[in-house]
Amino acid sequence: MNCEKIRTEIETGARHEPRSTAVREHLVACAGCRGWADETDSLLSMLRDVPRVQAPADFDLRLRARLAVAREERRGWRAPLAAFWSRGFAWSQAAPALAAVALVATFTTLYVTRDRQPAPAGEQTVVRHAPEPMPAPTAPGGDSAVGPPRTVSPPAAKGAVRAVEARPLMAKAAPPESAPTVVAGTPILLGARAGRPVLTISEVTYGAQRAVTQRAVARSAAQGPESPVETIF
Amino acid sequence: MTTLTLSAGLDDAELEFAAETRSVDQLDDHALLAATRTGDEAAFQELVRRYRNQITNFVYRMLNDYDRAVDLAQETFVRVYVNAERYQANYSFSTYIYRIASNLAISELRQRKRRRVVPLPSFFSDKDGEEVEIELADERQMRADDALIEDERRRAVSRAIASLPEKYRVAVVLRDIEGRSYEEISAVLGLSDGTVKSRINRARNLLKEKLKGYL
Repeated sequence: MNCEKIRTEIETGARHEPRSTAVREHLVACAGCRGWADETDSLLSMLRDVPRVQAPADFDLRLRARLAVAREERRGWRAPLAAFWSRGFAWSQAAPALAAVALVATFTTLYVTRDRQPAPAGEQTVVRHAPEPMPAPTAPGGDSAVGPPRTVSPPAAKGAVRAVEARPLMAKAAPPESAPTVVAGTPILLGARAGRPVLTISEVTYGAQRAVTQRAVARSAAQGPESPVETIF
Repeated sequence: MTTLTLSAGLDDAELEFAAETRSVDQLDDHALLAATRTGDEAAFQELVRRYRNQITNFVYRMLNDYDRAVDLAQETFVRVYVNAERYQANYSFSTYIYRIASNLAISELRQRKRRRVVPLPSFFSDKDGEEVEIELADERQMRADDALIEDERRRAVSRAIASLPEKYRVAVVLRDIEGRSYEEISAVLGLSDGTVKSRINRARNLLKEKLKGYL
């Protein structure tokens, strides 16, 4: 065995077991390892002789006090849960409550989604505000396809009212006297008639707005086809 | 006959308590912890009795601060108690409790390093924070010079251990002061056997350098 192996064996050897014959023979022959082994033995002896401290006499008493505090803390956040489980959980009791929750969730979902159904064609126009007018580019011919809010005369077609007072949602110029342009992604038709911009918005219904719009249409019809549509909102 | 004579003066409750105490004494650590889980306070007290001095000494050697060592030893037992339901007997209980204690001690050392906390010398400490043994005057007079030298040697060892980096300190304290096996130290520290041996070797070499004058 070489010195390294001998030293490893000495270091990792059990405390009270005698060293092997090979180690003893090596230590006799090798002065370096003998000196190292003596130093190690001396160190280990010193470490073993370090006096051990004892727990104080009131250790148990203080520990009991801390345990009482720990138990209280645990009881604090677990109490409601423990009380629930201690009453005994039964599916037969929980089933009606779960069914009621499911019913409420179903009706809520239906109520929220019912007005998002597509409206039949040819119905009323919805009047709404856009946030702020955007800079309006001037269309060829001096007309602006979009511009500040203004009142637009309703068309006389089939009693359907489309004229609105509205700020434009899109600042996009449309050629004058041209066919309506469908702005991608919106239900808005932009066009121009007799040099004036016409903004037509297909119907979008938000809850009670349909009824409000219908009232507006009725009022407009009573005032005559030439009268401007009353602005709602 | 002896039993009858002894039990003659005891009432039923005392006999029952004596029987419980005897049975708790005979249980191993796992059984005591299992009994603790069921709310058996006597079983937990027996665990405390078995390990309080070991854990206090271990933490004290790690921190070199007796008051804090007692505090953390108590915290160790509180954690054993609170987490008794989660204990899984994969290791021995001593491995488990030393693991908790070493984690607490290492955490404390790291906090001290961040805060640079220097423990105040207690009433029984000298200016270096070393514990001073209180002795009677006549005993002091009787003490020979070698006793003084031995005393100084022990203090030097304590200082040397306390000056080791924490990863070497915990390994050498567990091995050479607490007398734990390499396998157990590996389990306590969550390290491989090779790493543990290497750290202990390194710690001993550092101690040899620091204690050169005493070896």
